[in-house]
Amino acid sequence: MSAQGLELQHVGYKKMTKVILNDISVKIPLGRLVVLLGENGVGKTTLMRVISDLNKGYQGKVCLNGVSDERRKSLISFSDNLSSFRSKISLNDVIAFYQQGYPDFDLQRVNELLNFMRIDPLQRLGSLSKGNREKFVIALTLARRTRLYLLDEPLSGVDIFSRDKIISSLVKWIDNDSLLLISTHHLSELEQVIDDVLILKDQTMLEYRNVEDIRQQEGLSVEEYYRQTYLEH
Amino acid sequence: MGVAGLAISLFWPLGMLLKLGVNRSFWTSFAIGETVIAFILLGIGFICLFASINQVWLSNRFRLLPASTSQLYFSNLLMKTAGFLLIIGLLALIDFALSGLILRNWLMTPIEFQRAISKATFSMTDVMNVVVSFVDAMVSLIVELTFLLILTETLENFVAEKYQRLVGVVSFIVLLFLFSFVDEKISNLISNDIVSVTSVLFDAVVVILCIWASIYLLKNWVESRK
Amino acid sequence: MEITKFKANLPIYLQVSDLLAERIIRGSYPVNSKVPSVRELAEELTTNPRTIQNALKELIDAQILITRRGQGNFVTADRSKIVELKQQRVKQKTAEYLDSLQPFLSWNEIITAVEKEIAKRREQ
Repeated sequence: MSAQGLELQHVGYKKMTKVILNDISVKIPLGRLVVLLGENGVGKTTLMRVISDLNKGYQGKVCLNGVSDERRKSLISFSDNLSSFRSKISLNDVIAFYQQGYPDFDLQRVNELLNFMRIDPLQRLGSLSKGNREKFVIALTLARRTRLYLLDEPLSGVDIFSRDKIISSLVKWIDNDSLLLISTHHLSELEQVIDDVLILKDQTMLEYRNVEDIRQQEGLSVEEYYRQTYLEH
Repeated sequence: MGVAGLAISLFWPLGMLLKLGVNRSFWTSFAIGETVIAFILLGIGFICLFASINQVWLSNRFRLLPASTSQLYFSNLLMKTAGFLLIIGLLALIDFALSGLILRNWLMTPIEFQRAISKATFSMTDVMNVVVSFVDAMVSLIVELTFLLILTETLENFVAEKYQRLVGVVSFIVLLFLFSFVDEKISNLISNDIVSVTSVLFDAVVVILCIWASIYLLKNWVESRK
Repeated sequence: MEITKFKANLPIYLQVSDLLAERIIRGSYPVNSKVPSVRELAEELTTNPRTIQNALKELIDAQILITRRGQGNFVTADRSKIVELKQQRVKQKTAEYLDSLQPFLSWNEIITAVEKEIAKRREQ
């Protein structure tokens, strides 16, 4: 079972002549909660889009549980911003679309999540506030029972109380057979629930490291360590 | 949209009625009008059809689904075309039928109408020819235009963002012109008949090539918008 | 909902195992009883299940917790182990306390200060 998990081999991505990602190689086993760090525009979203096969023409290889062609999409749940849904559509109709489109979509789980985040599925998508829309996206993304969850800046508009609640629930929804990759600017709130950090800088991967190792070996919090390594290199 | 179309095709004559009163010129314009409306609806319907087919390639919502590119391609084309035929086809049929009805009941005497009908001889081969050429034209139109739109999206990737729209429109027009020019030239070389086995075969080969190329481009080049 | 916040610059599994050890000493997890599962603890303390596993492993290695196959982890029935744990705690905490004062206070000053503080608290 050596192929279990996410493996990137020399992954790169260009837009015309502009390099956006360059030669990223990493192996992340299942059962991990990984935070993707890096300043704005460093390619975090692009990396997630490459992994979920939305961006085409990338170099290198993306392999998830041994699947490296487009079939890997069935193993990935990516937090779509739902911009291609009409704003008048009700949340229930969006949920129905997901239920029809994804065989692994768990209706009970989405209802539990929405209930827990206090979101009424009878509302229209366009009437949601920024924070509630993000919560809805999180619920849809986590409601699939799949291997890799990609959450792109899921918490930027969510208030601090809900953020704490959601973060503590992340632990509950991820099991040993799945992997969660989350990009965020709210690192300190996530510090005690994550396993590893993956740091991007200058279009490539600076480091992939276990957070307990950072605390033990460097005596630093992840945030301090991130700041330090980012400025050093 | 279907309801709107139906409303236009039924209420438009009412306006005419008020303006002209019931006489021969009313019925003439009614009959012509229904035919024109049928064609306009078909035109608008086609534009909407291609816009909505193309939208699917560009949205995360559909590109994230756990389906292969060819599955996405075929189900998109089939579903959209079926929907199109259902709404627009039905409307056009109603409008054409209406104009035919008027022609028969108010503009021609029954004897004139019968004579006109009997002049047209329908044989089995004629019907077959019409059906085959209709299906051929329909499939070619949808597959080939879809391919040209996909090709345009691909080309847009190679220019800076601010020029994408302009390049898209221009290259689509150029491609459309080039494609139909070449297609017609080759088609004429192969056969002079409009409906013949060779020309249908040629169309089928072009369609298959377009499908293959479309799927290839979708799989490797065309990205959803952020 | 209360979130247990740990120090961000120390390994969290060590802090969790400290916390669990304190609960055992205090008797929140009595002798011979089952401690909550990894998942329950992870949820309660808002940490990663792997962190909890590592914390439990520390206590299992120290024979404070005993794993019963298929049933989970239990506090040891051997009271002497817990007494030992408590003494270790006392030693460790005292050492930390003294380390923090020693640079600027003499032994006698520390003893006087401690005695005064205890007397004050007893009155309250």
